[in-house]
Amino acid sequence: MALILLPLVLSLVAWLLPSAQTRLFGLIASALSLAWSIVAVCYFKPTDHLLVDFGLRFIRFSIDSLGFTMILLTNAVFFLVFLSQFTSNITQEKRFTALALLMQFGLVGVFTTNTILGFYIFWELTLLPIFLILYWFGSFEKPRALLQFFLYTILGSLAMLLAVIGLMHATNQQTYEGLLVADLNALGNTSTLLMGGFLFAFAVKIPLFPFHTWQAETYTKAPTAGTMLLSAIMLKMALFGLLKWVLPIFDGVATDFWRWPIISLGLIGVVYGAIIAIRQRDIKTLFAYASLSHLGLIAAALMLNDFDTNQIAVVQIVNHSIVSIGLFLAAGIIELRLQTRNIEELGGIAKVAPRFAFWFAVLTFVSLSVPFTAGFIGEFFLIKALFSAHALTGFIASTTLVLGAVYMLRAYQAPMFGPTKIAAFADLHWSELIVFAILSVAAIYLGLAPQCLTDFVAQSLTQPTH
Amino acid sequence: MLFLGSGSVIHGMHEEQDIRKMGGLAKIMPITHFTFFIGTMAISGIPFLSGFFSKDEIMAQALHHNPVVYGVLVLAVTMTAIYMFRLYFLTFHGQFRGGEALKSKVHESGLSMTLPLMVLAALSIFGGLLNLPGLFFKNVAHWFDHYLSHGTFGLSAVHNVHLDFNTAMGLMIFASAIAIGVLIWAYLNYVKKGATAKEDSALSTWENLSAQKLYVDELYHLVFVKPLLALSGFAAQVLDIQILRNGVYAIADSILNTANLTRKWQTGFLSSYLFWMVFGLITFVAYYILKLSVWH
Amino acid sequence: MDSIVILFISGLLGLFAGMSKKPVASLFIASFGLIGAGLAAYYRGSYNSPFSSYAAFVPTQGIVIILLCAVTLLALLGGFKRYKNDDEHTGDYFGLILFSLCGAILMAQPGDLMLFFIGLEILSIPIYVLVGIDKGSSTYAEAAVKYFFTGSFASAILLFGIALLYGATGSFQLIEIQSNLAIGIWQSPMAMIGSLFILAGFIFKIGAVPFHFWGPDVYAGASNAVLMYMSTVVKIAGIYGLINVFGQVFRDSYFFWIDLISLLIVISMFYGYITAWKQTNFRRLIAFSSIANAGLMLFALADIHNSNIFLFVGAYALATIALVVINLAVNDDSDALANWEGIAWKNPMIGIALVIALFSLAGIPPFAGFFGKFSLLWSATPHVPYTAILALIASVIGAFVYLRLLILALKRPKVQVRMQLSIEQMIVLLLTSIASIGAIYFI
Repeated sequence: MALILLPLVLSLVAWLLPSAQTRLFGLIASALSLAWSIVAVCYFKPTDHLLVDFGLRFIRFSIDSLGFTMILLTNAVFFLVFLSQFTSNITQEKRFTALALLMQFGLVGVFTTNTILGFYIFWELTLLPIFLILYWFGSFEKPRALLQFFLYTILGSLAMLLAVIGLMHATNQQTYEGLLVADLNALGNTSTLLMGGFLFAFAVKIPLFPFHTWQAETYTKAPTAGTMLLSAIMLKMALFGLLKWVLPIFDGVATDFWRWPIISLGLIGVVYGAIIAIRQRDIKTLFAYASLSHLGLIAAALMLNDFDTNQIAVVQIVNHSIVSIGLFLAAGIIELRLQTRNIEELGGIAKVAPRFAFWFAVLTFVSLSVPFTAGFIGEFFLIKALFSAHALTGFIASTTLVLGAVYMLRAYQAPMFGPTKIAAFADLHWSELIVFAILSVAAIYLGLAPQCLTDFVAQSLTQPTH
Repeated sequence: MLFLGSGSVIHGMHEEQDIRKMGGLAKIMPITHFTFFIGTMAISGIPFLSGFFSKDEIMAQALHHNPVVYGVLVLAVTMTAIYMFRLYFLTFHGQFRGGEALKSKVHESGLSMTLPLMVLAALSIFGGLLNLPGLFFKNVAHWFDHYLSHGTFGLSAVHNVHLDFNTAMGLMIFASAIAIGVLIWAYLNYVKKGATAKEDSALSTWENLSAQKLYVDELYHLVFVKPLLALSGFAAQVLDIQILRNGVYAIADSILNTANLTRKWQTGFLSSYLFWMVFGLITFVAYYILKLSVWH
Repeated sequence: MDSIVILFISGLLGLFAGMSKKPVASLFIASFGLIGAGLAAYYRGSYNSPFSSYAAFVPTQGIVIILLCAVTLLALLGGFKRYKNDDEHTGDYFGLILFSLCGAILMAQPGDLMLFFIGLEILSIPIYVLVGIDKGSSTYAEAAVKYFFTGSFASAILLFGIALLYGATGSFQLIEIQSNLAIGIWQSPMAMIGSLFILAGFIFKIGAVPFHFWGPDVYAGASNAVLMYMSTVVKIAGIYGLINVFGQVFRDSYFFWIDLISLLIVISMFYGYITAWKQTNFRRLIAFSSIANAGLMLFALADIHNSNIFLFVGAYALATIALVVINLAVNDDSDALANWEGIAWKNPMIGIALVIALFSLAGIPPFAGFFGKFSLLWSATPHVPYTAILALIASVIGAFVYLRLLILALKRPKVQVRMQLSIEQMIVLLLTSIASIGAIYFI
């Protein structure tokens, strides 16, 4: 219970605190949530389900091992965001701290709720804080780009709302367990339509290929903290929804119908994002398209709905959070110190900031899926799964490795090496250093021992019936 | 190791990379010379050095699966041997061609450079022995293969073939013969005859093509890099921004701009309001008539 | 009935208190009256009422009365800044509003069509007066005249519909009409056209297409304070009356009129939201938003046995009142939207209430607007699925309108000017915000 409500309470406290203490409070609050969830995980048996009930009719909570993994990821992401932004102006703002903690509450709710309507409500609850964070702290000169993001997400959300209502009416169930046993295949085409509603919402959020146009612009203009929150955890809601809710519930006719369309879109995104990333000059835009590429792969592999692949997908989800925090932090550091993100104006940073160069390199390698990092485990097995589905999908998926190397190495090399084009560059602050170190250790640990995560998660993933 | 060696040479030559200006460095840079020689021999596949065994393994596998591949590999191996020995002899033997001024400055590299070279040379000599293809050390044969296949990463799927003794020996002898033959040819050509690298203008067509790296870099640039960059630019600018993003904007705008049309309905005149109310009422009655005709 | 009596008496007292030219006294009397009426509705049946013999005339549910009284109280408090400036008329304002509320209670859930019509007129006539109460202002006069003419026209249509129905069934009692219609008379042209005319009258009251024209002009012409009452209570009473009449009387001809309702929903929502996009005047924007919301309210008719409109109208009223209070606070003289730029920075309470109100109107959880919309769609979707899909698409446009307003209001000004809110405005904003969040417990 406290696990779920703690961020909300802390968010309210943040409003009331004097501004001077905000910076420290954000860090302590997120650390507190993280510590609490770690303790809770230690006392948690993976086969258990923690039930939490506040007496609401449509919202109940049940935490299983997948939920715990995501809570841990969420709390860790928020802690790292607060820590990494410790020196920037944004954490001085009371509004940011409170909104971020509110968003944390929404995310934890998404990952723990046990009812389909609860899932929708928390899904939407995260919109309010991110909207305000983006608007207040981002650099949206015209509200258009921001509105585009919200047009898309709200359109997707409303499709999902219809699907939620339809699903609840059709099955007369609202809990996860109830929906699992409900026979949706009997609904025939209706179940395909309902799943389509969910998939549309997810496709906007992940994002999948034709619905991604909000992404690059939003990422680029958002504050670094906002970009990190968006890509590291908020987009994971969609993958989580796919993994936990939609695929097990719609297993059968509907999934068979949507499998190849979604895999195609995911793989188009893989190639498309990577190709666009190759020539981007803005380092944040580049990473945004890289994100499109990486997440397309996860979404495509998830649609195979294979028990082993789903476990690996969780590893890759965690890995992508690690990578996106690291890379966007690096981009943010460059932007903060040099006021530019254009990699053609950058060069020779490695000479003046060797520590930054080293840690950025580590994260680049993680993102390149070098063996012994989580990225290797994740991408390798996802591509392998796609190969076993069809040789062509496997082939297209594996282009991510080659193209990924091209754009990531460019993104690393151009600013860090080459002729020195920059005046001065302060090396990493201790807070940033700790973030990079934690991320690298986590990525390497997961790369060496992914079993600890996959075994934990496997308990709550449903075995496919076929 | 060869890279390190050439690095050492270049360092000793004061950042001079053109082999036409080198020659006779063996006396000045003995350690570099010796290790480079071993490296060259290893990569060319002179028997009992590491390159010999690894290459032989690959070629044995190739022959087993596809003779054409084997043929190509033989050609490649021969080429490798030729250019490596040419490089070696031109650099370390014959006369120094870099002029007196430079010659006086040329020196052997420091220990920090030569030590790794020596370690690597030692590994080149003995490394190959670790993996003798079942001829000499039957028990430890292919232990490296086994080490790799222990991994979970699906490498065990690469099945190993064991060729019979005669074929294996035949292949090894053939490969050795090529390598040694090239060694002798190169020695005769570059040391005895004193042939040096020609100036650019004196190159024959074939040699010219080779000097320009067979235009492979350019070909790569033309076939892969340029289209990829063009595609990237196209995808980013045209597809992503102009078609997809602006398409979304255009849809949104066209919906919202209908407001210009709809707001005209609200004229501000009471008479028009009353007119439209009557119109609405007539619509209701029309709806009734329509509905009845549908029902009946 | 007790509630109506209490309201009437406190309205009268308010009129007398107005003579003292002490606005606060009038406010207290009106507030006590409203709270008393609400309490009387809440405890109805648990005490011996002196008016129990009249109880059958006012079958309105306690919860609806409480909702109407609460919304009116918020509207009075929120508009008090405006009313007290006009201290000569404060008592008149409050008296008229309370009388009008009596009519709203009468018409919200009638048992008798005649009584219903009287309630409707009691509701409407004070509002005609309220809109034009400032005799010196030509915009007020224009709005009042427009409202009066269109309103009388709509009343005539409604009355005509009632007459047709009476002709078909021979009764004004809803129960009797229903039982008469049920035996087959509902298929007679008289009953059918009568039902359509009654529908037209109601649609005028709640302000949906095609009888929405008075809305934007009257809203823009009326003062903020009157707008708070007019845009909420009239709509709530109207939609409850519509549900009651149609749900009780025209239940058998459901498949006759439901397509028309679907059509009106879709047109109202698209027209309202799209037109709201280009408005430069705050009250006109609210007017078009209210047209769209009226369309949404019509969803309650899709499932007449189980219509759950309470949360939706409650959420709509809370959000609208909060917005108009803010407009009154920052923007009383001019009505230009441009003045909204950066107002969230003037006072934290404004900022919070504004964000909550706009997100609530846009239907984004966890605010009341979402739960209202959800409970409406929850019962309506199985009956009119395609209308629901179109309505949700229109909602996206609506979200656009509200978010644009939000973006405007949240824009950080270069020079930050603090602004003090009066105590009753603080109370209203606080209450609307808390209620909008607390709605989660009602679902």
